[in-house]
Amino acid sequence: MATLSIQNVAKNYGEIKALANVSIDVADGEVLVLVGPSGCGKSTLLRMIAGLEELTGGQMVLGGRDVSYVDPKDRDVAMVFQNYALYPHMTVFQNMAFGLEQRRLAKDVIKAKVMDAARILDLTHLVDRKPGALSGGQRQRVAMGRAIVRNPAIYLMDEPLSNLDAKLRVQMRAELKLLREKLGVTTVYVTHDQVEAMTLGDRVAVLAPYSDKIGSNLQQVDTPHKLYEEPRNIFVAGFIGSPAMNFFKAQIARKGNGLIATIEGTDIAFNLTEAAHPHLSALAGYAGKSVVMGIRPEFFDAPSGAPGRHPVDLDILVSEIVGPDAFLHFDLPTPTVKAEFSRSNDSDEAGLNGARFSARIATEKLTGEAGMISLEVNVAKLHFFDETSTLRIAT
Amino acid sequence: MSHAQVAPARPNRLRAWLPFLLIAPSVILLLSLVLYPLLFALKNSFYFWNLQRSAEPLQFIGLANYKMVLSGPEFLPSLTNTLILSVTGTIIEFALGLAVALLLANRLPGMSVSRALLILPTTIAPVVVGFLFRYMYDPAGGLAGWLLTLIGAPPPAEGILGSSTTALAAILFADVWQWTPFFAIVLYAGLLSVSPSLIEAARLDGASAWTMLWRIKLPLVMKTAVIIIILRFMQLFNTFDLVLVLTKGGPGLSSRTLGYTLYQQGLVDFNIGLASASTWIIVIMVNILVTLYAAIAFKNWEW
Repeated sequence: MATLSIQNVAKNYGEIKALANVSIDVADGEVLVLVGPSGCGKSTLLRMIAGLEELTGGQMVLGGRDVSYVDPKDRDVAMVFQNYALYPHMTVFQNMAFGLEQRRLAKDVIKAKVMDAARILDLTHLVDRKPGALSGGQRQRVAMGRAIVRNPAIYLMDEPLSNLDAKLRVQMRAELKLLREKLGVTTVYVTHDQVEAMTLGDRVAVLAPYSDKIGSNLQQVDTPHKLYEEPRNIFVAGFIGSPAMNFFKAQIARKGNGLIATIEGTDIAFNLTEAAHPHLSALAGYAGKSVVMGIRPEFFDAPSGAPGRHPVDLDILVSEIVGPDAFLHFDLPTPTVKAEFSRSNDSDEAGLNGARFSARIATEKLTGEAGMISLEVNVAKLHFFDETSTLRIAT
Repeated sequence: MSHAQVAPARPNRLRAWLPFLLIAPSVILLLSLVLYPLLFALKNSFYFWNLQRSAEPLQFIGLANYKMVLSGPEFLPSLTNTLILSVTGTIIEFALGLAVALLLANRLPGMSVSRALLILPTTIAPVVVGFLFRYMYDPAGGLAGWLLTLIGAPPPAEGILGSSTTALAAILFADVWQWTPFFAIVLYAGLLSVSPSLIEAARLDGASAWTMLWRIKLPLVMKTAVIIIILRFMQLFNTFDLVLVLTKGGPGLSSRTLGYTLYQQGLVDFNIGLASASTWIIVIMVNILVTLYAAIAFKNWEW
C-alpha cells in the first residue's frame, strides 16, 4: 500500500498534447476514479502510472519513490485491463501464479496466495480451467485475482467492467466495492461511466481533452458529492449527472434586495434571494450581463407550492418513463449554450425550436405525457457559470 | 394454387444437392490426382513391372518389391540422410525464422523493406536455387569456397559438393536459405496477432524478455508454428530437386535422399514396381511420423 503523487504530468505525441499539467495526489488506501469522455487522456494517464507509457514531462511518485522512469516490472503495480488480458494458454491458477513466479516465491507460498485469492473471488472451483472456458464475469474475477495475489502498492483498473453486460456490471460494481473494503489498497480506476465513478470513488478526477484555454486536462478532483453539488466549471457540471444538466443563457438583473435571472428568449425568470443563495454577492457583479445558468433535470418537480420553488409551465414534447422516474423533454426558444462549453455528451441535442432540455420527475407525479405541463424548479439548486471562463459562480 | 405447390419443388431439389455440387470439383480432383495414383501405385507395388522390359505389369510377385527396397544398399543411407535433412532442416529453419520474426516485430528502421525483401528466396523455384548454389559451391572460383577460406575454414579439396562430409550439409544450407524466410513471415504474422495487452500484462507481472518469449509469445504462436512445422517437415522429407541439381545423391550415397532414390528407381531405371513400393514405404513412414507429431503437438489444445 502506498500513496501516489502525480505531479505536472504531461504526454505529447509529436505535436499533439494528449496530457498536460495533470497533478493529483492519491492518499494511502484511497480509490481515485479517473473519468471523462473519450480522448480525455484518462487511459493514457493510467498507463503512465503503470509505466506502459513514457512521461514527456512531470513526475510520478509512488510510495515516496520517484518512479517516473522506472520499468513497469519494478514499479510494484498491478493492472486490470479492459479486455482482462488473461493468458489464454494458462489455467486460472497459472494466470494468477505467473506474477508470483516471476518474483521467485516458493511454490507452496504461491499456491497458498493463489488459493487465498481464489477463495475471496469465489473462483476455487475454476482454478484448473482455461480462460476460454469461463464466462465474462468469471474472467473479470480472474483478472482481479491476478492483481490481488501480487499484493501491489497500487491497483490500476482500466474500465474493468465495460465488457460486461448491464446486469453483470451492476453486480460486479457492488462486488468491487465490497472487495475494496476488504483489501483497502490504493486504487486508480478509469471509467467513462459516471455511475461507476460516483459509486466506487473516494474521490473522482474529471478529465477533458486538452485545451489551451484551461491549460490542463484536469477539470476537478473532488468527492463525488462535491462534484455533483459544486462543479467547478460547465464541463464538470455537464459531465456529472444523468440526464445531463440543462444549460441556459440567462440575463442577470437587480431586483429589490436580490437578483433576477431571466432565461434569454423566454419570460421564465427566477428570483434569487440571500435566503436561498448565501453568496449572492458574486453573482451580483454580473448584473446587466448574461451568464450560463444550469438546472439539473432532477430539480424540476411536480407543483408542490413549497417555499423556494418557482413554477414553470413547459410544453413537453415527449416523456420517457423509466420505472420510478420519467424523463420529460422540452424545447425552449432560447439560444443553445455552445457545445464547446459543456460537451456533456457526444451529441449536441439541439432541438428544432431553439434548444432541447430535459426534466426528471417521479413517474407517479406525472399528470400527462406530452403537452403543457406545470412543473416547478428548486431555485436553491440553480447553478451559475461565467460565460467566458466557464467557471462556476458560487452562490 | 396448384402451381404454387409444384414450383418450389425444383429449387428444393437443387438446394438439397447444392452442397454436393459445390464440393464435387475438389472431390473429383482429389480422387483423380491423389487417390487414384496412390491406389495405382499400391497395385503396381505387388507386380514386377519394368518399363524397359514391358509396357504392362509382367507378373504378380507379392511383397518382393518391398523386400528389395528395404534390403537395398541405398535404402538405409537414404533414410538416414532424409531424416537428418528433414529434422535438422525444420529445426534450424524454425529457430532462425523465429529469431528473424522477433526482430521484425521490433519497430526498427528499415524493417518494412527487410520484410518485403525477405520473402524473395521463397518465391524462387527450388531448381533455380539449386543452380544458384551450384555456382556458389563450385570449387573453381565459387563464392562459398572463397568465403570459407577467408574465415579460416577452407572447404575440402574435392569441393564442397564433392566431399562426402559436406555434400549433405551443402544441400541443407541451400534449403535453409530458401525456407527460413517462410518461417519468419508466418511466425511474424503470428506474433502480430498476439494482443498487445497480454504483453503489457506480462511486463507488469514482472516477466523478463526471456520469460516473455518462452512463456507468453511462443505458446501463443504455437498453433501457427505446429502447422508450418508439419508442412515443412513433409516437404523436406520429400526433398529431391535440390539433390538432383546439386549432388545427384553423391558422392557415393552420402547425400542420397529417399526422394532421390525414388526418382532413380522410377525415372532412371524405369522400375515402376520397385518405385511404387518405395512410394508406399515413404507414405507409411511420413504418416506415422506426422501422426506421432500431431498426437504430441495437438495435446491440450482446448484454447
